[in-house]
Amino acid sequence: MATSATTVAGEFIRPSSSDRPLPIRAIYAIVHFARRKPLGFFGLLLVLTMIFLALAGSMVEPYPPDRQALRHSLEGSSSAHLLGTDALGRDVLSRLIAGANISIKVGFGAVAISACGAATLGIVSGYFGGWVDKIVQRIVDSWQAMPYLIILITFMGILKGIKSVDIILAMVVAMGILGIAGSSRVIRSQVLTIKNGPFVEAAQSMGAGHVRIMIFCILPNVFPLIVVNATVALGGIILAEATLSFLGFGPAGKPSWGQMLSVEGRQYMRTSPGLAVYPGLFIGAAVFGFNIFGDALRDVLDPRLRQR
Amino acid sequence: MGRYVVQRLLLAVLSVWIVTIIVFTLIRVVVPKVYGSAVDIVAVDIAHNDPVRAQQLREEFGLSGIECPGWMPGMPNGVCNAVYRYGEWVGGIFRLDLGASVQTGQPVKGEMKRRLPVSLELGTIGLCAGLIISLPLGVAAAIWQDRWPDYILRTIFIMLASVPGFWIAILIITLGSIWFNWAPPLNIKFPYLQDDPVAHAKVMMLPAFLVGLTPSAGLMRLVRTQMLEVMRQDYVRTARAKGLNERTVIIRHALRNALVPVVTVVGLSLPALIAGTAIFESIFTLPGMGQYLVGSVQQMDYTVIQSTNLVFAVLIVMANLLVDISYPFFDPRIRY
Repeated sequence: MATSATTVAGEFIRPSSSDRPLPIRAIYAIVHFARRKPLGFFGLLLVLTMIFLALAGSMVEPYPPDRQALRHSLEGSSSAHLLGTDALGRDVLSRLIAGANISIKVGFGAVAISACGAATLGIVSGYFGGWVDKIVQRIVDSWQAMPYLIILITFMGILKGIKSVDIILAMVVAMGILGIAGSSRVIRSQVLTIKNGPFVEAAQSMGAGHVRIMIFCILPNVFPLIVVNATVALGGIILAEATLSFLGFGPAGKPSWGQMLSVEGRQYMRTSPGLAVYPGLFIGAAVFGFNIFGDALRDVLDPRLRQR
Repeated sequence: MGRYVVQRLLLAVLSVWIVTIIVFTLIRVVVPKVYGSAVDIVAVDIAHNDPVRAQQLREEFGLSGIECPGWMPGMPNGVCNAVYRYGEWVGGIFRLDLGASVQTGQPVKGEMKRRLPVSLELGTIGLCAGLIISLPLGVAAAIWQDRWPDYILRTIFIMLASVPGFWIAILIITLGSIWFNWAPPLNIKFPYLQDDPVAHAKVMMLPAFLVGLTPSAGLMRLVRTQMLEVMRQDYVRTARAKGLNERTVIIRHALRNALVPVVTVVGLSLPALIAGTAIFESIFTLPGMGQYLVGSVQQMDYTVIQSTNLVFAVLIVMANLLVDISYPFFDPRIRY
């Protein structure tokens, strides 16, 4: 049984190139992806830019994001301040770059939790079937129907008052747990078809235990699906984080995109509309990038679509 | 059918019950552990300066400790207290008594009576707006598949799904005021439907449209793919071969069949719809349930937090029930 890495790479590479060293194969794979899915490749570039901004952070910020210069408050775009300054004279571009950090942290953290949870839940539920499946699916039903923003507002609002709680961590955990239900559904339905495959039967006849089959036979086969789901979910989580920060339940004292929209953007939008426009554009670009990259990945990786 | 509905109703009750337990535990058990007593959060000053008044408040809002009765030896008092207070709250719910707001002392029920219709209206009009936008556009994109109307519509809707709804709201307000000298009517005193229908419609129009806009992106995409699939079916070819005109084929034969999964997605987008009402009530200062929740969480008004969460859970569970029951109406093949 091929592992996930070779199936992923094998999709892009012509057979003759499979003996090349790995870095070159990776470059081939990316070039091939860019040719087949130009829009998806554009999404990948947006995503990579955002990750770069989040990681590089203070190295690429033109000014420290919290440095105030009241004499230069509410300036428009200039060569000194590319996207202008806010009411306290802080550089908008620097704050936007700093905001990428929170979005990426929350996004990847929450997605890691929900992907692990969803994989476990989906594989166990689909593999065992029967009453286990029935009970898990009923729970997933009501889980998915939860008004997620209402729960997040309640949860974050209560935790916000507690000094010792890391608010970003709380956000990551809450969003991660809320996200499990949705993607576990998709994984389960994939597992239902996979578990009847001949290789599962072969493993069973060799005397492999349930856990072994689930980890070594089922998991590699649903792995592409998990990756696709996680990519698309990232966009949704960045949106949710922005919404929470916009409503005032995000991390206080740190520049985040949603918060910039709510506090500075709304107050001064008539005099300097840039304060309201740029953070929204950044959120939109990030979510758009994850969405179209995820869609293209799905076309390439999802076995159900690949056969057509 | 009857058996199915009863089964779903029981599950619905179970869901609501789980929500009450989670919310109660979070507010009454976890929070006081960290903050001290719940009264001290909501009325720190009073509790600090006037211990007698604080004790009175505790009694009044059911926060004073309950000791375990003699027939339960070895039980920690905290557990008995939590169970007793939970029972008190649930008992109150059955008597339709949701308690009083800790901040204002006003009964929560009266406040809800005024706020719930606003949110329901916002959500319902929003959903209708979303369907009115997404159904025709989805069908159009499917009919002109891979031609320019399809590309334009798809691009618009991918972008729409990527930007936050509240940003669109801010842009409309900002650009409207800059370019057309127009701003959404300020509602310092909110015009209720029964008092002033015209002013009410003016205030509600834009938020309701925006509530529907975000879910409509996903809906349009789904309508498009479903239409594409259905239009390749044999019965659509038969309908065409019979000599029916294209409009009848699309509307009566294709669209109706394509709508079955759309109903599911309408059900799944209910949480997004509720999120939308909460966001736009906050932006446009509409006195609805979402705004009530946001305000009460900011002030740690825990009776209100409990009750709003309960009402939201009941709402969403009932709406899901309606969606489930409506399947046979769209697809006669489905029977319960």
